[in-house]
Amino acid sequence: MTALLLGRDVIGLPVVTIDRGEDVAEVRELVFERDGALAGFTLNKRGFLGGRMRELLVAANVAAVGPAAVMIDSDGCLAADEGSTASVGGSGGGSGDARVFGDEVITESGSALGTITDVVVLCGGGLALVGYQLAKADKSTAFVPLPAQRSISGSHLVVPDELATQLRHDLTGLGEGVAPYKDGLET
Amino acid sequence: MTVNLSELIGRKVVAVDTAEQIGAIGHVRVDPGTGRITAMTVGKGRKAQVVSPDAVRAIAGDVVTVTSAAALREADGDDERALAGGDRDLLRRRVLTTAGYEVGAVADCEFDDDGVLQVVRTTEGEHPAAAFRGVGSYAVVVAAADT
Repeated sequence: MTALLLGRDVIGLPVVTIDRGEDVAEVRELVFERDGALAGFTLNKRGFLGGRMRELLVAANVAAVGPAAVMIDSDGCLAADEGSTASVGGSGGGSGDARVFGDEVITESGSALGTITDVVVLCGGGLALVGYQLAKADKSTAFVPLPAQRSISGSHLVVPDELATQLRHDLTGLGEGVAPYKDGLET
Repeated sequence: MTVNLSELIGRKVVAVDTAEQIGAIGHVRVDPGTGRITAMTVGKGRKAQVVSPDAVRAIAGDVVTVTSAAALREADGDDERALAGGDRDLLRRRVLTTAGYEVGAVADCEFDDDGVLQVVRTTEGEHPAAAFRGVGSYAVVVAAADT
């Protein structure tokens, strides 16, 4: 079963331990590496007035992301935040070069396609970023599959020229776009 | 012969040394690694007392038989207190797969005579005992079908 989730749908999901079935945290924000890769999540305590937790959930410790929960093997998978170089890319957040949301998407020949409004995550094993959602100048949304990315800087995402005519307008279309990438994951 | 969890919960408990009824089964803990019942309580809530499996003679009859009322003891340690508090209960608990999908809630569980889990039945289907990964206050976790 393969499905895709928007980053905003991941925020608020419970983080559940596989060994004990406990909801030990919930996703607060997505954290990105400087190269745009998903580094993991910051966390809130569960429940009303939960508040932020000191611990982080790094991508390597994510067993799976699904529509109902983020699964981890045990509560030992939550690591203390030791000032990692990654930074938060959530709305209004974002410091330094690792900002992803709000980046302008441009083609290699310099045409502006829109700005990144969200990321697309593959459901299933691990934590895999497969693309971006962008808002175009005419306010419509489109999706860019990650393999099309040439580079990302914290202000711009550069994609090949041919992508301008191949933008996917829904997640179903993106699913086809990332199929080669998923095949790569399975091999 | 098999035993359904829904029928085991609430079943009368009789001590074989005195033939007296000492209560009824309140909670059951199943070890995710082996699928075995590793502890039960007699009674629920603050009055729940833990009975270890080596004191249990039989679970599959009309009553559960234990060696003696002296085999009952107070919950000790976090895990037994969680058991007595109902956090290890399987029935009606939401079921998540290891892939993070919700797949209904536990409708019943089937054990063999020796108290070894055979099948977890949910509101949406069933999972073999080998798929059972963990249980806590939030969810029962089962292996995703393709793992």
